[in-house]
Amino acid sequence: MAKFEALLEINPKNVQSLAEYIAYCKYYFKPKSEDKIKNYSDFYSLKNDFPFIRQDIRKNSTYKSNETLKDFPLNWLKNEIIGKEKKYVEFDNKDIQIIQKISGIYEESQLNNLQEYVNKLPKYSFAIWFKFQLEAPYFSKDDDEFYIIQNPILKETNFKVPMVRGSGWKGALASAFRELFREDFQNNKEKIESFLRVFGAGSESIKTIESYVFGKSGDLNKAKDSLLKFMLFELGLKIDSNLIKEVKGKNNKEELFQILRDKLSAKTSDSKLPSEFQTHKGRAIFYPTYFDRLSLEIINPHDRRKRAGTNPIHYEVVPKGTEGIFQLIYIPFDGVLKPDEELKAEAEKDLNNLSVAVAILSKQGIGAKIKLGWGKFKIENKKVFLNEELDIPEEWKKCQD
Amino acid sequence: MVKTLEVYAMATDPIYIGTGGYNIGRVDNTIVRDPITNIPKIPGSSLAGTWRYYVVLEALKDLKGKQPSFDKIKNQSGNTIAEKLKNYNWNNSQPNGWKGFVGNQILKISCAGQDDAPQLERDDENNTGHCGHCIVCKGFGFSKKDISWQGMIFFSDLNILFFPVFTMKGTKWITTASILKEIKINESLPEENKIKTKNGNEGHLNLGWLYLEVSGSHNINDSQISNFSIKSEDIIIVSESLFSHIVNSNLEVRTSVSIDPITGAAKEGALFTSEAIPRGTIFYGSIRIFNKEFGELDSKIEPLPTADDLEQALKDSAHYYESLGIGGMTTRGFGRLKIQLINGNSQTGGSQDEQPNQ
Ligand SMILES: [Zn+2]
Repeated sequence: MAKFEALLEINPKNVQSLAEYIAYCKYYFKPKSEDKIKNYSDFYSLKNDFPFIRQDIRKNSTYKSNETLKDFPLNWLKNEIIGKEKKYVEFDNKDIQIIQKISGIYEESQLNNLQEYVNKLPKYSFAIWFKFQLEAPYFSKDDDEFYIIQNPILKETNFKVPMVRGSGWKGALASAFRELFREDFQNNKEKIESFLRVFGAGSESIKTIESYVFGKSGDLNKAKDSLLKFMLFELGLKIDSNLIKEVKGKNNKEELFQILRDKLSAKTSDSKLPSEFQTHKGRAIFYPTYFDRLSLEIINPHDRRKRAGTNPIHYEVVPKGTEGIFQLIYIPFDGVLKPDEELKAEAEKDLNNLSVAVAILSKQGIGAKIKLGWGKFKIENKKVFLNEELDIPEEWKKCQD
Repeated sequence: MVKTLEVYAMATDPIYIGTGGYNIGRVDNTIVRDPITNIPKIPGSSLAGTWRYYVVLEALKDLKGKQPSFDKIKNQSGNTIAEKLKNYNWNNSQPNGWKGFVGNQILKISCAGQDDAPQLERDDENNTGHCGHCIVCKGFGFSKKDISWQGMIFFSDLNILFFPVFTMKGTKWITTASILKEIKINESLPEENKIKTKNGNEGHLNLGWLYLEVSGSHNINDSQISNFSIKSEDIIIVSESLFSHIVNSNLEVRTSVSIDPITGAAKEGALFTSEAIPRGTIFYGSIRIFNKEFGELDSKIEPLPTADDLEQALKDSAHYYESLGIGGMTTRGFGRLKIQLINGNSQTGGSQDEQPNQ
């Protein structure tokens, strides 16, 4: 029972660090006993199964009816570790500071260093930084199988700090960005181009279109299918059956280009695919976000036929009110081939679209269960870091201000 | 003369380098490992490939708009492109330092990455690949039909120096006595299956799922590891065999699902896991820069950049690793790295029998 020995050092009534909290949740994940607490005949055998208990709790009404060890540690977590008053555990800020520093996230007091970093990047690079406060719980599922809470929250692998991954921000922000052109895409071609510059393109469908356009494949039907797939799944466009018919009815490369020019990008020429529509990495780099609070949420799924609640489902969440830092760096590394004026115009559009998308995202929410309203946040102290003059969105502050 | 630079790096994201090298977009489940110790590493070839690209980006940042057209170069006096480049007058717009190296007039984005025209002669009008004249081509090497050059910069692999692992006392970094020797810290081995901490009095400590006895204390102090953003109290020394075991059982493992684009549903049997070296891992390695005296040198390769210029080029472009990163999946939250270069001792002589890193 080597792992239990380790636990003796924790005082589960007074869990102080993130490490102690995680150790508790990880090492007690499995029921050892089918006995109810009240059925233990003596304290010694109870303590043998639950080494962290320091006093006899068999008469305590909070615990005596708990059925098995499976429920008991979770209830202990709820009542004794998280507690009824505060409803969340808050960790030492030091844990967050270390992992933020390792991840290259700048704290509010070090933002001049972020400006210095942007100064080293190619012209028209920029950084977006803001603090936000969760207006609802945040949850994203971790695949940790050894945990006492059914649905553990995503945590950094070796630091165990709850987080939003950079890729999580990227996916969520891309989906918010699509709202800018989804409905009326034919009048928002520049926003589609901006989207592809920021997030990149690399799907199978774009590769198929490319290989057709560049003459490596002569399969027109496959190219038409890929174009539709690209419009539907990558750009998320609202396509009606007329448009599908229109695309399907095209008979040659020129006609296919016509569709591209009419619907997606005015930059399309007779034989050239705009660079945005070719396979490339996106210009935006997303940083993770770390949080310093954890809590539990319980969802009671209702069975419609029985009109009664079934088993409640537990989620480990970052509670409402917790603050986090969002950081994004935009590098037009593909811009060395473009004239400065063009690059400037692109960066300006991309910055403005990103800022609108961020506002949309804050209302949509980040993470899972956004249909329940989870993951919404309030943006505070928005800043932009530039290395060349750009028109910045209203309300956003330049670093120097 | 050989100039040695010590390289220290901290993974600011999980690092994924599939066995296929630095090509972007390659999906491979396993990462590159040392064949003997089975410990993951960053291969020198990946480092060489990305750094080559970052030197090009850094150079073009200043060269953009100042480079003459190729016609203008052709109209210079001289019999060869090399001579014409030498005779070209920048009209006061010559960039300073390594960015102003003779040959950089024609440095272009395609001087990085795979050469798409290795079958052509260097000075062929249709040469769309490595130019063979700029500081990047000469520093990192190139190979054309008429002339090949192995380059002047050689990258060792980056090996793990300190590896983060979760414990009940917070996250600690493990290492071994033989690894510490590489950075000139002498510590003795802990007893088999036991560990050494700064205090030495914890009794037992869990490293991930392993519960191990603390057998004594180490004497590392903060000043010896001032190049890294960790404290000596966070370092734990383990035995060689435990090290490999702990590293391999604490890698970042992600399970992803391939999504069918038509139905939006998960493809059956298309679950794949990928592993990566976790965030917070600290690596070390070295870069050797050979100076001009190569012995017999093809006159066509002259002029060569100085080792100082190449060193500066590497230092000025290292910051790109902090944002653009290394390895596959860099747009999906992998690969960012903070690199520090520290001057080591220069030595005379030195062999050139390493693999060229083109
Ligand atoms: Zn070149």
